Amino acid sequence: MMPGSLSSKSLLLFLLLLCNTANAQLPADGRTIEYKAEIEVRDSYISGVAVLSCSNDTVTGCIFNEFGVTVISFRYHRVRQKVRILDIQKRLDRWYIRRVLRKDILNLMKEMEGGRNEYYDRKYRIKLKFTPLQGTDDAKG
Amino acid sequence: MVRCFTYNDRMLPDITMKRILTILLLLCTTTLCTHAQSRQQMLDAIASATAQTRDMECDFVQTKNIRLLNRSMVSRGHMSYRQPDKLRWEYTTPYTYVFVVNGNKVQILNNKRKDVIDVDRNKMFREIVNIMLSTVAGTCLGDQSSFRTTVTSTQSEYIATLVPQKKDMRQMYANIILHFDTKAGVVNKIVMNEAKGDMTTIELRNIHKNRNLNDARFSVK
Repeated sequence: MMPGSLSSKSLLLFLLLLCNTANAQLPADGRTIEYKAEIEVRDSYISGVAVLSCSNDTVTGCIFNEFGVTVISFRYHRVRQKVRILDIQKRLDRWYIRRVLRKDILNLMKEMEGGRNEYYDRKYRIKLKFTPLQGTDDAKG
Repeated sequence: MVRCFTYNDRMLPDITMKRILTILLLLCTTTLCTHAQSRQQMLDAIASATAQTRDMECDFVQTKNIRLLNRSMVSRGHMSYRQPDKLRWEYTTPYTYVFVVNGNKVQILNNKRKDVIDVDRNKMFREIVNIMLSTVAGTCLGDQSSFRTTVTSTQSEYIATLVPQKKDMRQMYANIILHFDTKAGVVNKIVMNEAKGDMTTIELRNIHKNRNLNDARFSVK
């Protein structure tokens, strides 16, 4: 009985892991994916588009609003588990904002690797959500 | 008696040199005057045409070039405009997003959310609204405090390059280029070059003017 149940459990665990990877919102195959980005900060709500270029080691992302104005660009290092902000809008360029954004984007990336598409920062009451867009027009520049 | 003027070891009569300088000066002045008149004529022509546009509607294609990712993203939608301060900017792809300007109020319809913003109390939205209204209508060309403008022309269009003068706008954009169709009398392309290198191009298509657009499409509730 024991070996049978053990192998059933192992099979179930393996299948669960497989599903998790299959549902992961952040692939590692060099693809570039567009998302609808939504950020809620207490009473405020900002939306736009996030474009993420996902490789084995890193995810390079750019978030801009509907009118095409770039808000922030970043790079997430998967192994080192760190986010580096490459560029940010001048009005947001404060050390305390950068710190919060780095931490929140890092946590969002981790959630996305786990198959979920949102993260809630309880301390500052910030909710970040990236929803994959279907059938977008895009091309290599 | 003629005094001589020495230049590169050659001796030239003073009176001849004076004549040459005078001719050159006249030539330069005439050339400058011609250019100044041409630029002003172009600006006047644009101002005159835009003043005659009471309202306008069209489709648009917006292309965002992301330098960091070497990639472009395309959005499409429909625009309606009525002089002087009503604008409906509606994205249909990649998702539905509606931005309505009516005076000092802005309404955003996004998914199931509806937000109304008072532009007078929100600096960022005030800037966005100013850019959108003034570039679509072409009225930014006369705003010398906000933009330094140069204008060139081709057979079919005037091309105005606007360089922002105010700090907030300069932080966002290196320049904004408007393409004005001389035959249709409207702006048909807007190119916005961001200070950090990204570029957004908006092409207006199927443009229709002065159709007495319904008030309801600009309603903010």
